[in-house]
Amino acid sequence: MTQNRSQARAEVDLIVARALNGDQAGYAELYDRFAASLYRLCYSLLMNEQDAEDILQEAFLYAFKNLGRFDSRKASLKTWLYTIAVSRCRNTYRRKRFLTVDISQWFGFELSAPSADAPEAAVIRRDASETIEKALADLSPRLREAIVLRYGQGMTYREISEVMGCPQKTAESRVRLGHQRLRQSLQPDGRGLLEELLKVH
Amino acid sequence: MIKFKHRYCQVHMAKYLSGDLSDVARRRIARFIDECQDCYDEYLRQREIREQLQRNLPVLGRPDAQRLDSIWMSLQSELAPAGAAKSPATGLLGNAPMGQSLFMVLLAAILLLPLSIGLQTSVAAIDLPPYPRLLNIETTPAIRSRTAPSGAFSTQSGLSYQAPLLQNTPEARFIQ
Repeated sequence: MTQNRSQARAEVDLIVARALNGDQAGYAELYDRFAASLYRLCYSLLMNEQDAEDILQEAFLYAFKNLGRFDSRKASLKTWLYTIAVSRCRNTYRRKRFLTVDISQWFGFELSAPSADAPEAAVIRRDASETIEKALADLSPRLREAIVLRYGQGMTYREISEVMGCPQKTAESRVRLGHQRLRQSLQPDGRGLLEELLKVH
Repeated sequence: MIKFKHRYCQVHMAKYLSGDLSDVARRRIARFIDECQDCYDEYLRQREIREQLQRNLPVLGRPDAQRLDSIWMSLQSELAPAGAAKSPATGLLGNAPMGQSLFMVLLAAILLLPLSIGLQTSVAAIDLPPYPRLLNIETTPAIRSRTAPSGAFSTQSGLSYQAPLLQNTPEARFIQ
């Protein structure tokens, strides 16, 4: 397992070197290798397709323009790309939180449901992945990041701590807390959450 | 004690399930699960959630190839101008060759040179603020000393000195 990882890392380093030498196919290969997982990460954090696409494009644009700064001794390219994407996702949901929280506080009314609760969500609410999506949306951003990186991306605690920019112990406790919160909202088969949702709507 | 066991299980169960605990901690949790019904329930619940997350999260937001291709196309179009700007043939004026840029800079410098000299001249023509002058001028005293050369002097030893007399002065009249 570890050998596979180090082999994959060496391969990526070679592709990076090729790209830095001006090989356009190197960039394309890097994109093919990481775009899908990076998109999934962005979508899981933002719960919005358009935002996820924008962040994916921004992250790759930044990474390709600054590929010379990437130091493979400090972190793997995957971790570096994820750090860039998570940082941009944080900016996005910080901006959205500012808009929603402040306006609702000033005017004293409830805003319309967020994107995860859009009308079409009523149709597919029965789906298990939608249930998970809703449960994730209820988590605080930091706990959501930890859970998505751990279970969605299969990262180690060390990699999570690098991406989130926190000590490894903090990453561990965030995964644990996120797990506990999800346990409260998700009953074994997810029915608890569904009942809750049906009460609201 | 049971509360402590249960709390310990809650805290460490996620790591127990993912195999991240030390052997000692792992054995302790396993014993609690065997002995305590609450701990066993906790184990079942967390294992179920873990499986649910592992099953559903990796497919959450899985993109189709067409979407990724369109992002790649727009990414390429954004990267292309950046590559062009980095080419050594271009200079300060975007796509203009370096020699042309250098020529423009020299031309600008030549045009601005007389102006800068003119500015220096105009600065020099400005009046300086007033300053004290005539520091070393010989002046005639308005009052002469009474013991000046017109008088007569005598010392205690009897020597006397007669200065040349000036006519029409009070001193001259007095001596006469």
